[in-house]
Amino acid sequence: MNCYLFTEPIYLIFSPDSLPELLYYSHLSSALIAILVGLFIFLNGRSFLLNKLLFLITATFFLWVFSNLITWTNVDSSFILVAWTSFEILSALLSILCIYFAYVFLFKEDVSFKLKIIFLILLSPVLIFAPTYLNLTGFNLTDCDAFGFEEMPFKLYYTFLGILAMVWIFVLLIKSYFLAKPEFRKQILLMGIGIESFLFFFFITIFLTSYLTSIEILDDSRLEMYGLFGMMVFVAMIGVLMVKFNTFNVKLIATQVLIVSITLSVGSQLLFIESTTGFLVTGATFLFSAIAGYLLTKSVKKEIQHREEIEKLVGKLKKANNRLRELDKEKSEFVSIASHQLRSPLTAIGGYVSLLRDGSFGKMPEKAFEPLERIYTSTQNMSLSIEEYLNVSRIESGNMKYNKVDFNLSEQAEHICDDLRSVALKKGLLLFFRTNLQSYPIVHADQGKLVQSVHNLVNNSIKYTEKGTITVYVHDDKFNKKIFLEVIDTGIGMNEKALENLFQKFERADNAHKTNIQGTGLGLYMALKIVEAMGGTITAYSEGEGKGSRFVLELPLVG
Amino acid sequence: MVIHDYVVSYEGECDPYESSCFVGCENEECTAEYFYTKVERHASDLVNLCGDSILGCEFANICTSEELQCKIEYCSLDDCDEVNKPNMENIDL
Repeated sequence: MNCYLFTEPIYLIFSPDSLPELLYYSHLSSALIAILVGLFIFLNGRSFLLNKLLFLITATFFLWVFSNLITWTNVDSSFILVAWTSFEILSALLSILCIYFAYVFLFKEDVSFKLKIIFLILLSPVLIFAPTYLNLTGFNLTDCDAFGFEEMPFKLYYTFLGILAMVWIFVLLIKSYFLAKPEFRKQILLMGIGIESFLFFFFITIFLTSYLTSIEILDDSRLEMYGLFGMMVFVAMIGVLMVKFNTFNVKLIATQVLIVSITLSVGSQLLFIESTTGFLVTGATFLFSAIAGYLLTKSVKKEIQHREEIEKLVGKLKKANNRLRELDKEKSEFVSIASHQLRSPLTAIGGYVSLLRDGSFGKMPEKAFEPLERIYTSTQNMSLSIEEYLNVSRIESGNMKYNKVDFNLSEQAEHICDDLRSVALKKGLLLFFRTNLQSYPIVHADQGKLVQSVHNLVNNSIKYTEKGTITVYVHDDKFNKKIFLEVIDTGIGMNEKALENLFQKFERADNAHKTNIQGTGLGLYMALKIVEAMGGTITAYSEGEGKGSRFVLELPLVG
Repeated sequence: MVIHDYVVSYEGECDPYESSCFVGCENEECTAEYFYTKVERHASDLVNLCGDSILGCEFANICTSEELQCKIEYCSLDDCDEVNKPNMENIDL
């Protein structure tokens, strides 16, 4: 049955009658943009539930707009009543789909079966009653409008669903925002603004339009056209999420195509508009979309390129770092195995040389003593070097064992000085031991290893001092409960660069080579590692080459 | 809702000399008036009588005996205010 006051539309929705100017602009642009975005996102990630849901929302919105346009423009009463019923079902479906979408966006997984049942229960009144007389009972051919049996309560239900969706999503957003990582918070904020704007504009304006027309404050439903612009806000936020955060796994090329499509869809409105105002407004929007789209694509392209370059570099660095770690581990294992293999024959060589020297295999000729002595000394030196390599290997693999006890550091330092004094004297050096203690100098450490470290420090000073003195000075800071052992020499000294790298593995000062002293370059590295394991540290000072050195060993006092 | 199984309402033709008609305005300024009755009937019955359009269909203004639900409402003194009452004096005969 056709209503007789209006002319039949072309292609279901294009009426030749004079209709509100904003009608096609608000409906067609929002619906086309929404469906284009939804479709692009869906086609670029069909396997993602989030993409599917967004497509469902935009498709439902598109159908709603189409149904709504039919009620505005068509003259066939049966057709209008079907369209009216559909867009009530579609409105309810939109609110439930928005809740579903928010869940999947925030929790990155599908909702539970229980929640799906709740969604269905919420939808069921609309699905059951919308096509019945409880919703619409008849049609006014004069006004070309449907009328219903107590229409408002039914309208109230799907408006209630819209408000429920708004509140539900808002609570989810707040909860997730505070629990989310900082980088995801921005995405939550953008999605929240988009979806809440859409729901608010859409449901509130539709309800207000129905209510105000029912109490005859408004003549027609043109207010509801403004509600459709909420979808534009939602789509804009989806666009930002898509290009900036890659939320929907859409590649740049798809983004570019999408922006072009949106601009074209806005531009296509120009073909339908007859009034100058409408033409100007649409023209300006078209121009704005084109410029904004171009700038957005350009900046996003740059950003994506930078991001990809950084990601590639990070990947390469990770690989290189892993390889270095493997190599370091392999090296430590190799050193450990090689050192063990070398130590056994060296012990045998040292033992037999000692027996030969002592005459256990008969009297040795006089001239053989010196070579035997040299073999023995070299074997001892080599053993010490191997022991150092083994210790480094143990320290680096974390297998170094420390047996900590309380002992008097000052007393041990004095013993070391006593032991090494003769060595110093052989070189014409004086070795002094001094103390200035206000508390009992007890430390809690591995005595053997710490004594070895101090021994290395003093021995080093003797090695690198040609003339003058070596002083071992022990003093304390009883307030801070610390003890300091200083080894001060008048030796070759060091420049700043040498000081910086002094405690590195295999590191020796440049001028150390001038002294013709053999060394592995591991002594100071090991001493530092051992002292650090005891809770202390070693610092080296020198005023420059030829100006002597000062090594300060610092340890916590017991008690 | 089954197609055509619903009520339609519309403004039926009304002769102010024979019946008490409702008066409507042809335009916003109300410089021209028209007379009508309020008709309410089943869409299916109307389709059977008039097809898809009631324009030019004389059955659209009367209820037939076969119709169970057909109502034509005229303006009466009880429910029709002064504005809507036909003013015979102003009608150019």
